[in-house]
Amino acid sequence: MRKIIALTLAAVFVLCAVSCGKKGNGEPMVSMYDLRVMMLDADETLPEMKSVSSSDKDAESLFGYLSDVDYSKVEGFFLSFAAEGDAYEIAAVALRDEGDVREMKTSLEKHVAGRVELYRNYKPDQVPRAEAAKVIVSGRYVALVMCDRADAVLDAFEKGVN
Amino acid sequence: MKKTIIICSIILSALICAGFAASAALGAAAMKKSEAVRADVGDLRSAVNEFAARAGGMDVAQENDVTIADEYVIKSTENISDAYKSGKTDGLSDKEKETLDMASEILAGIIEDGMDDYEKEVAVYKWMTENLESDEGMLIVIPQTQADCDNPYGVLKYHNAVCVGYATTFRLFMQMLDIPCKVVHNSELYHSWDLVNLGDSWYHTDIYSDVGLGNFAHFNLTDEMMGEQNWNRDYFPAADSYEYCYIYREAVETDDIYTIPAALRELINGERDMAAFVFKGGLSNSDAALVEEMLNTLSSLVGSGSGEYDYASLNWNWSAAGSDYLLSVSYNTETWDDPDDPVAIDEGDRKKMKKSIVDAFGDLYEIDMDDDDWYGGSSYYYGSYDYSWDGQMVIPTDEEFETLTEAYRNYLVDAGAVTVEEAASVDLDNWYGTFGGMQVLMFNRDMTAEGEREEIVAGNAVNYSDGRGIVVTDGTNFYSLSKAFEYGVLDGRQIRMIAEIQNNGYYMEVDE
Repeated sequence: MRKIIALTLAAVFVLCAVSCGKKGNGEPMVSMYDLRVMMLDADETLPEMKSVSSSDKDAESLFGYLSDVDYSKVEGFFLSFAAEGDAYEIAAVALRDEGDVREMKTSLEKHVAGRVELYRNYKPDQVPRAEAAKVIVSGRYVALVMCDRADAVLDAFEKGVN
Repeated sequence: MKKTIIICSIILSALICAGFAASAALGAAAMKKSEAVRADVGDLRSAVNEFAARAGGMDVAQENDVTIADEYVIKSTENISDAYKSGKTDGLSDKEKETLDMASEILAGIIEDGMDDYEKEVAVYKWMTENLESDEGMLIVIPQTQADCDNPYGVLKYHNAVCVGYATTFRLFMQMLDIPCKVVHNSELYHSWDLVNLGDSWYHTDIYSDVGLGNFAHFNLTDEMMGEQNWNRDYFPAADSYEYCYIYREAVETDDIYTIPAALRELINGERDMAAFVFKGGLSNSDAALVEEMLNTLSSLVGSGSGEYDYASLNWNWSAAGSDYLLSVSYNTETWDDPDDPVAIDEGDRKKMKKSIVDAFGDLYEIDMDDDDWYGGSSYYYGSYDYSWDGQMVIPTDEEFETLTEAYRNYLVDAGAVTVEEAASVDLDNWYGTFGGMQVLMFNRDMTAEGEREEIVAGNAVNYSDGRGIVVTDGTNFYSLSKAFEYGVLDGRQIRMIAEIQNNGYYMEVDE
């Protein structure tokens, strides 16, 4: 009887170990550089863009221009934006904990709303593109896409993080 | 012992299993959460509206120490204006002292004795809109703005400002002149301008919006005229007087919209600084549309034939004043330095210049320093075709000429410049010569018929009013003169010579 119980518990142990956890937890973060290249290449109509990322020396400070989420929750990010200030912006953030994606999504939406307001005051012709921006989540990654070919860029994002 | 081991193993296994089961449950819950988030993408209009609504709650009932666009802070400068009025600069920092000096110098240059407050305000407005530029770096996600663009020090030193810089600088000037003035910010905290008090009434002045135009479109407006903005009206005073509204004071009551072009002609002739019209009781939709089309037409004419100016434009602005409509129009011009103005050059300096070129490029090009027309001489005048630079003249056979013509026609069709039918009318004239191994051709089709074609064909085809043009070719590729130079198929001297021939209308005949 004891042997039966021990064997049963061992089997349960094995099953739990196999089914444990969500796929992706503990998986290494995709390269933010590679993801940036993929996403920007997806829209040939982008103007000259500048980029910053978690590889930069003052990454935390630069991240603050994109989101007010605590930087300790971020594993990596990149932010690309039009050099001349027009409404073109592509960004992706990898969270350490997937549970923080909603907070990040909300903060990116707030960022976009702020950009819309800025353009409304100073460059109204950019407002339509800014308003059409999309924020999308995939696993522990959140992306912001503000450009003319947003769908293509979002496809690149999905492929890049999966 | 054996029994103990078995019991411990069972307990340990149970604990491990419970832990993994809990982990799996939490993971499944997280999956569901992220799926719910993913399903919630949608568009962001609701977020924008929510932001705007929330912003109303974020607005602050204060004038100073307000941050605009998350970056620029409205700061008081009363210590500087107090120092101006008192003459005492104790307690001012070096930066503030420098600001005071710059501002004082400007006021000394633009304020005259006997000016009333309104005239002083106009003088300051004119100076600011004529001498300052907007710093558009604030629109970049990571702002690239000039240092101190949000305060009078940076604005007066670098002549570059964001809205906060304009507003605080204008306020500084007003306070130095003892004219009450406040800096207003909008409820969304993305823009700022001024409220100025004249004759016990307040007026909105937004220098930022008029900079470079100077059309008084945002000078001394009422609350109603500032309708595009939201601000804390409980905190800032109301502006409901037209007495010192510039456009309203200057506007001519207009019943007949067809008198507008004549009035604008006076504006362009320099007989007035700006043209303003008031339409009592408003305008019908059709009249308003007519006026708008009138202005667009005039704007195109003004822009296309700038006359003595390199750049000219008409700018206009509509605003409502109660039941009346106001239209203000300004005329802006710019003259660039004319590079073709002849400048006297000392001959000794010219010779020295030539020698420096020969020293640097003499191994690549033949340069006759003794020739007055030093880049080629007179060998290309009418009837003479001594190509001294390469000394080669190729006379094509009929078959070769026909082949080249066909190649050129195909090239134009492939480039999308002409249709196949149109290509049939493209002919090459008899002028034909070789320069540096390239064949120089003239064609008789007016390629400026459509500017787009000119762009497609070799990027920048040279065209002349007689409908002739020049291309150079190696038999396969065709180039305009500028592209031939850019790609190095001809050198600068050869290009100049060809252009000179064309400019002077010389026409080379093949001496068979």
